[in-house]
Amino acid sequence: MKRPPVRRIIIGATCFIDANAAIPIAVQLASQSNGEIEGLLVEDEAILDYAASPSARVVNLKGSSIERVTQGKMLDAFRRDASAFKKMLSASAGDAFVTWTFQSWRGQFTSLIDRTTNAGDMVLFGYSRAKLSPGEIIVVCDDVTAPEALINVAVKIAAERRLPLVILLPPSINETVAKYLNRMNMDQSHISIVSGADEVLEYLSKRSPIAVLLSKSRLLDMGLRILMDAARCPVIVMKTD
Amino acid sequence: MTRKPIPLKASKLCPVCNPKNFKFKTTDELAPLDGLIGQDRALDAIRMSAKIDHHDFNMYVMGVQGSGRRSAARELLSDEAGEKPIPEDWVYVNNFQNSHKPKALSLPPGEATGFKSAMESLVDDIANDIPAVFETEDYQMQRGSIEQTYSEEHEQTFNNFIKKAHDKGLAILRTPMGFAVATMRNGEILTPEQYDKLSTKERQLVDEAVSIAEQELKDVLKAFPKRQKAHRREIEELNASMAKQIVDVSIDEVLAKFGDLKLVASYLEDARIDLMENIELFLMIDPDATTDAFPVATTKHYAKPQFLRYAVNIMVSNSPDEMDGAPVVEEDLPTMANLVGRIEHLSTMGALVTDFTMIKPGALHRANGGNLIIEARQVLSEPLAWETLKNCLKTGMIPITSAGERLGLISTTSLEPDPIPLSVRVALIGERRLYFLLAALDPDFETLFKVQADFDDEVVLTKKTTQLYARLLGAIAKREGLKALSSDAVARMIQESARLAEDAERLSLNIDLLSNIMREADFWASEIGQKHIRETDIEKAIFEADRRANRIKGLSQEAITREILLIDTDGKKIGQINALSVIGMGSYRFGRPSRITARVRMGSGKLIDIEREVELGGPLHSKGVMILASYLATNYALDVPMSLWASIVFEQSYGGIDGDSASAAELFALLSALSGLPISQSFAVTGSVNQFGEIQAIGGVNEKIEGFFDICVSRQLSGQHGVIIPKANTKHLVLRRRVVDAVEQGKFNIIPIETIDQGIELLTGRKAGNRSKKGLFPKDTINRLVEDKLRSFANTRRAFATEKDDEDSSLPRESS
Repeated sequence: MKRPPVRRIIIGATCFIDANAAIPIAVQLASQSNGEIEGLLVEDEAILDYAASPSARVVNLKGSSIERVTQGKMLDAFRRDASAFKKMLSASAGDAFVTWTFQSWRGQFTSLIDRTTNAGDMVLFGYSRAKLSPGEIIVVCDDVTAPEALINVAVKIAAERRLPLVILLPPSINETVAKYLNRMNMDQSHISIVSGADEVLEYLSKRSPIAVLLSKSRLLDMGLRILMDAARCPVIVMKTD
Repeated sequence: MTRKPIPLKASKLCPVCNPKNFKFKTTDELAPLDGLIGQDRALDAIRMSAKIDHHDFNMYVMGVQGSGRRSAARELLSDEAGEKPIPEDWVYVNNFQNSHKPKALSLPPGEATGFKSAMESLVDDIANDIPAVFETEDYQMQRGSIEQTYSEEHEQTFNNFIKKAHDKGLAILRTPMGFAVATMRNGEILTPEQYDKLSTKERQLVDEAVSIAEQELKDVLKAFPKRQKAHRREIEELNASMAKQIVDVSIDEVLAKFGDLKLVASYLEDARIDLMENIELFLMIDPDATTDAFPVATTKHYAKPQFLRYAVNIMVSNSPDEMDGAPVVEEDLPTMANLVGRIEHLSTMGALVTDFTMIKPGALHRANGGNLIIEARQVLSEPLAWETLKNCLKTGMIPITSAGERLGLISTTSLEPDPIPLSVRVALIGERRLYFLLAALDPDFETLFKVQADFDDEVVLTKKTTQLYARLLGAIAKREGLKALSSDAVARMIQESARLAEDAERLSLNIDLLSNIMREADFWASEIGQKHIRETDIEKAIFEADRRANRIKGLSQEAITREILLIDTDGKKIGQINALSVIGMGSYRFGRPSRITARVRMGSGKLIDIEREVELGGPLHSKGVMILASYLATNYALDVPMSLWASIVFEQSYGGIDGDSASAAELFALLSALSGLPISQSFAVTGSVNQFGEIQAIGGVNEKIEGFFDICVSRQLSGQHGVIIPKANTKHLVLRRRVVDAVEQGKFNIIPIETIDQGIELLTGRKAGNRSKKGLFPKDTINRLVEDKLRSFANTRRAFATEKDDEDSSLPRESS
């Protein structure tokens, strides 16, 4: 029997809290699809540049200001979070018997998607939010990329976590997706017709998704930071070709 | 002149009970005796103690083992208890405010079980209903609505912030140190170099925008915990309101049954509050629920550890279906824990844990409101049991503590349950000796045990008691499942009963001993296929019991017949006499002759009791010797100093001896030695003497006579053999058939005496002599010979002293 190809699942995050939100999803994806996890604590150049400025300051999770942030302090913080990220990844992946690697990487957070090489490889951009209510899994389809692979992955995540599934798509692929769902014995209530990037962002900003899945081409269309600010959850970008 | 003692006739040696005087053939025809004979004093005492209300009129039931004291106490207390009301039930429940002080609740008799079931049903109902209510559409909708509201509020707030930031050209960076607000230009974060290139005004605007955004971000982040808290509180309130409906219904159901009991109602209100505070216990998922053989709805939730706090621990349940009145409890092992109960502990992960469900009741709980019967010796033997019992009786409470806590040996945190009020009548069963010791040494005893029920050991043998005795024997036979006794067997038993009482005019009331004989007789009767127990069976039982126990007696007699132990049974000897002693081994006793010898010479008035000198003589023996010494000193040669040196010994006796029953024999030996008149060895003597020469009663007269008789039989009876006994003991004679027959045939004699003079005359064949008006005993009488000897000792001693003085005076004196 031919073994399925090994899928790379890259977790990218600029801090441990965001990585921690993505790790469970990554482990689930890896164990369902013969995947290997690559953990990356991204020492984002934009953050380091910001930290280099004399007036740099941050607001912590409790809402208090931390003054006099320096690049050196930021790098120390990156190193601490890298250690925590690696430890958590080791424990979670180890429990699920999933192969994993880890490294700290300096570069642009938004360019992580370029590290995918094969079809099926994914990048999980970590994002932690305080959830007051259980959310949903949202797939954002486009009329460029075949939606089946994305929908398959989304269905598995939703089923495993017993969460609702929402499929956002432009009207042009509605019929295609509906037929596909039919073949999977799923009804069309999961489908929401949404045109254009702005509408998608507007939709996402009003919901409480647990994760958003989309293709690389769709991401490039919307912009990672804007998408993450709107969704405020881990974003899963899949290389489909 | 000394009155000559007359040997007893055979008819005086054993009481005769003629079966022909009975109007029955077997005891089956008799109505069984209900109760005991001759114990009115004791039974009346028990009845009074059972009826009187005062808490300190407990009773001490005393008498010999086997007198029926315990069963009589049990019966009378049961009769009286039947007239008393059934006492309340008692339970322990959790103290929700202070879990290490469980509360005691009383309920009407028999209702504790119902209360326990009601609480178990309450827990089961709530455990089934609570999860269900949280799955109802109504609850889900309400909860969803709250979730939605807070979620939307949160999303809206954050969304607005993000939008505003974007509109102002700001990006929110997520860093390991927190959130950073950075300016964007053309979709990229402004670098420090780019910032430096901005004009002052531009920088100002940028800085201002960043500051405002940071402040807004802080506000959003600070608001989140408050929003979370409010969200959580609303959910809790929703949960509480849903749960309250169910809890109220369940509690009210129990209140409807038990609410008129004030303390129970108070407990249920506390339980209501506690249930609401701990409702999450009912939402704990049971991992085994789906794997049970039975559906979840029938699961006994009340048995789960988390719900034990609502359990009811029944200490005493007095169901009217099972009881007619107050309880009568017999505690056979009255340890401290068995009396007042105990608190058990469980070892969990190296620690000892406990709770109110592990409180166990004791005998005092079970007997509360009724009666408790315990053996005095046992409760006094168990550590702290006696003190604990007294404490409970004094305080009228049953506190539960362990011996370890009392002694300060353990400091494990334990429980302090409410003590339960106590009202009980205690019957202590014990020996007389214990009663008197307690009365003398324990100041609390007579305060708490005011009633003594003293069971007699014997009853006077009369025609009436004989008839009652027959019924008593019939009752024993029926109770033990034995064959009925024939009238001759009853007559023999009555005779044996007198033997057991050691008194021809008394019957023993030791039921156990009578029962033992009858049971063995029943066995022998069965062995030969008899329908009833006959006299021969009784004889056989007595004989076989004696045979089983008499090995040592046989060896002792053998030592005499083989002349290892020297005992003469014929001829005459000066200063030697056969005395009699009883050897007891357990419940078996036998008599044995001992040789006493006495030697005399001139001395300074010293009478040596060799047994005492070597510490083989007990105090009573020494007392007897001193008395006879006093008799000598005050009866003879009063005008001269006592110049006698004498020694008395039990020959070939190497064990201890005590008692004064040989003091008469010792005196006879001394008189023989002083007078020079030999004593007939055909006789044995037993009797105690006082300072006036009067012969006093002794114990074991039957065994002593039979002991000497058996030795004489082994050497062939001559008709001269006999035993001299105190006249006061003639009423104690219940001799065996063999002795009675020998006396009847003139082969053996039993001669009662009252004075020393009577005895010495019998033993020496010479007159004792009475002192004349001139103060002298007649010539050649025993007393004269004795007195003359003592005078000669005194004269010799005086002569010796004078010679010595003369010698001393003839010695030259030193001149000054």
